[in-house]
Amino acid sequence: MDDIRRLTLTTVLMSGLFCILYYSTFLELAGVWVRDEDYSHGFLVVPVSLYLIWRKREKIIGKPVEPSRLGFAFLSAWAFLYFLGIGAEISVFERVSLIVFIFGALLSTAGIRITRVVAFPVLFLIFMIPIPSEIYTMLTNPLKLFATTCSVNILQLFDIPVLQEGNLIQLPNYSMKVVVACSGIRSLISVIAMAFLMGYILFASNIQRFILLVFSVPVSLLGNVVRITLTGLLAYYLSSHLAEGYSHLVAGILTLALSFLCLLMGSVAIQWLEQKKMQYTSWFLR
Amino acid sequence: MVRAEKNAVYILVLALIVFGSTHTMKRSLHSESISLYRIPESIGPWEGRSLGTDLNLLKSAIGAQDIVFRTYKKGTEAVTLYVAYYKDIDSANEVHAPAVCYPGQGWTVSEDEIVLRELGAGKAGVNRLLIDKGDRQELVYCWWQTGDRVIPRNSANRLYQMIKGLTGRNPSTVWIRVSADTRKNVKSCENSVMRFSREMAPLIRNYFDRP
Repeated sequence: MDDIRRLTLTTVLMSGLFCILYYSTFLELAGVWVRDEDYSHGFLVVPVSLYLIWRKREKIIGKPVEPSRLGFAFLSAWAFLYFLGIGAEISVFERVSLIVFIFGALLSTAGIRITRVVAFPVLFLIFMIPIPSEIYTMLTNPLKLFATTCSVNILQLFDIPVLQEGNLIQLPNYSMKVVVACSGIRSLISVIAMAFLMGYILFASNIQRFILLVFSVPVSLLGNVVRITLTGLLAYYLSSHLAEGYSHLVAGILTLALSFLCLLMGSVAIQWLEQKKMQYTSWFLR
Repeated sequence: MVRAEKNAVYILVLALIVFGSTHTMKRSLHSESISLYRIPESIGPWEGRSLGTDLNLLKSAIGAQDIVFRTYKKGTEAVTLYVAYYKDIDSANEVHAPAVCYPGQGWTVSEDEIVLRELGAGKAGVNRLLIDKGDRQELVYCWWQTGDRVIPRNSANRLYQMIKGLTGRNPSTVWIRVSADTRKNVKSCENSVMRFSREMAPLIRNYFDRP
């Protein structure tokens, strides 16, 4: 009991320190989550992470406290990242440093065994951190070009006169804004975060988790194709105003729901394949 | 458990030292004041006219603090000048490499190289691109001006900004793009772009010299 009280005291001390260090970082992050549609899931990341830790509370209490020197290696890396992040104003370093700090503090005060139990929930926090726009666009722009081309082909199947210029789609009564042309594929990070979480909850094997994670990329691509096509259809057949504002938001939520459904179906398929594999293995061994 | 508590105290001391020193450094960086950049409408023999683009929309989309977007003409020659001012490294992160951005707008990049050009105070490397879309072809020169340095690539500029930031100097930067329609004559277009760049570049460099 005394140990638990001391562990609680250390946790409170570290949490207080964390708040001092990252109060302004979280305020900035909240601003990004509000402004940027690609990171609006950021508000859910911390509660989900805390919930996942809460689920593991029995395991955490059951493990012995064995502080590790490895923690100070993490804390040195944290100091370097924090210095670069705040000193040179490179926010991605500042934001990533918060995860390194948590690992450093956990290893130094609780030890490797407890850290291993909470490693996934802590790593999950990475999804609340925006990837620098330049890198994100460089990585996902080819996917976006592919999604735009697919959507244009589908719109042409409906006999809609449509012209594609890179990521820009010109309809007779509507053209997509220039600013969209330079951005990466929408919702990719949200869908990957969803796959990461579902893989952790539904599967025990890391291979199955990895398959689901890889599957999330085409799912996101499909979501984007549906979204762009829907926007085009709405703009052409009903009104160009429908392609923006509230309907645009609804289309975003619908495509996210579709992505979730696809991931769920993917998970079922992975489980089914695993069962079949087990059946065949036992049949061969018989 | 005692070791855990000891470690907690060590972490507390380390974190407060790092926190205090970095925030003091950040404050000293912010004490430098910068006036907003303006380029004259007349640059030597070139006469400029703003393009009818919503600059506020553009600013919010690309994260720039100030933008100049104009066409400059001299007789039959015409070039387009686009200048975006970024006060820190984070806002400059919004700029995409031209090789990524142009395909997104339907252009095909047929040439992408670093060339040495006279920019009013000796030669410097600039990014030269030749881009095509349907019947149109444009020649593009683009580069970063950070302090007194001309830097052609985004990554190199980011690194230089980082060094400036860490050494307590102003990391603000300016992205410059000069482009022109080749009208199927790349050589004459290149001459126009070079002449204009030579006249215009010192104005931007001087801006960094001012307090």
